[in-house]
Amino acid sequence: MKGQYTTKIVVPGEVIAVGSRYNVRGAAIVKPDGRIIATRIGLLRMKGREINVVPLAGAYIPQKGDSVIGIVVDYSVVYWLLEINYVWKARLDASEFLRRPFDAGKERITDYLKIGDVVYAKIAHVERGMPPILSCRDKGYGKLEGGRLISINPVKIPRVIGVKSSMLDAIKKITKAEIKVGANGIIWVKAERPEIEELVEHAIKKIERESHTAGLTKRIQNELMKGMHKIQRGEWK
Amino acid sequence: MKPSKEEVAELLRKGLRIDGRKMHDLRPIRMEVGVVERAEGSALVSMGKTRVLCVVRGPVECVPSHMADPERAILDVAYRMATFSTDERKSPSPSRREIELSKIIREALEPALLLGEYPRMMIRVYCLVLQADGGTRTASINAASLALAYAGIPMQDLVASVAVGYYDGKILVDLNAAEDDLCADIPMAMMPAYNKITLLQADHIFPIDKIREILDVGRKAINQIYELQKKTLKSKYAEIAKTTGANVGE
Repeated sequence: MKGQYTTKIVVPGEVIAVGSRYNVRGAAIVKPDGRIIATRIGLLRMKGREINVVPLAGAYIPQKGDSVIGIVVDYSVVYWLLEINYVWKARLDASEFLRRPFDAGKERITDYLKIGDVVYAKIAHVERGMPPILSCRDKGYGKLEGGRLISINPVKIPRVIGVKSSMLDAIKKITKAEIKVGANGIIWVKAERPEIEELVEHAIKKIERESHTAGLTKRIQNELMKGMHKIQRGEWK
Repeated sequence: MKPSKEEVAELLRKGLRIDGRKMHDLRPIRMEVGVVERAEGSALVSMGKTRVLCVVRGPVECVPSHMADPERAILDVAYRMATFSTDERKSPSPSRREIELSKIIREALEPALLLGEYPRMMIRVYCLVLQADGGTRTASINAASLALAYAGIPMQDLVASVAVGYYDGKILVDLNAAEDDLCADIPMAMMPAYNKITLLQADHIFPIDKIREILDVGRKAINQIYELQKKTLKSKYAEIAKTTGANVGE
């Protein structure tokens, strides 16, 4: 896949191409005069007729099906409200979290999740300009215990995951850490030792900073390897 | 020492300017983005001695909520002058002028923004004038458009802005405070990719048959600023790529 693409940084208003034969995706618009114009600062990936502008900055906007990490900030009798790095707090119904009917007359919602708890959930429903609805029904979702949270710019999340999950798999393989990545820019890491969690945090921050550069997976792998050696020899500060 | 009006006028009649510029020259411009880490977007722009810091937050929840538009985000612009930005201390309470300029800047930026992507939300833009020496609204627009782009707010173009002046048959660009007191001041802002004007004001009398010439001169200056804006945004990312020794790309 490398090499075939031409990549460069584009800014809003920049004319990428002219004509109707292109297939445009990402942060770009086609004007009536046929000009294709970037609408955000981003990385232009162009291959034949394919134009894709991958944004380098911007807020998280929930999409149905996104996996996110949220922090419980409020609750009512039958649902929790989670902070998910969006304008509105997201609602998680007790029955969606427990995967069974919830009887508010017999049980208390705070027995399951309290304020400050961290949850890995899926966006089940979004409506324009309204609070999103979460679900934990599918496998792998639920409360996250222990570990640490890392917050990065949400547009950099695809880079943390990598092409076909290559980056994330590499991090997991080298550090043996448990990692959940939220599309909302929050990443949860849990490892055997706190030093390893620190190392992963360091690597993820580096990915965020250098997301638009080539050969990043290789560099991160090297750094993690070196870091793991240091930790094993007790040299990690 | 502040030059007197007569001195400025005398020089202008000869086609000279108090700071040694040619009539159509811009002042030295410096631009930087990402100067405030906590905010989504920020920019610091200096045009000569005029210096403006712009910070963008958002999208955030619309406050007050009755202002929320179900179709699009609303843009909240606050233009303020720091108390230390002028010769005499400026009172910190928002003046009539600051409220008006906030509106003017908002209206200059709005056509470029694709606010439909953020329904019922709000984007906040703060422009703080740190040092005022004429052309604070134009510097604010330049800074705001950079900060908005750096924040990743969808926009169809950057907005670039400059003030054009007219005095005694002569057209001059990017007025400083001394020239601003004397000349007819015509601030303008454009979306250069579409050749569209988003702001045009005039605060003095000038012959109307000069308007085409004035707009042409302004457009040329705006294009220079626009190129600088693009360069500033791109170099912010190129800089990071450079430190890693890697090329831009994936």
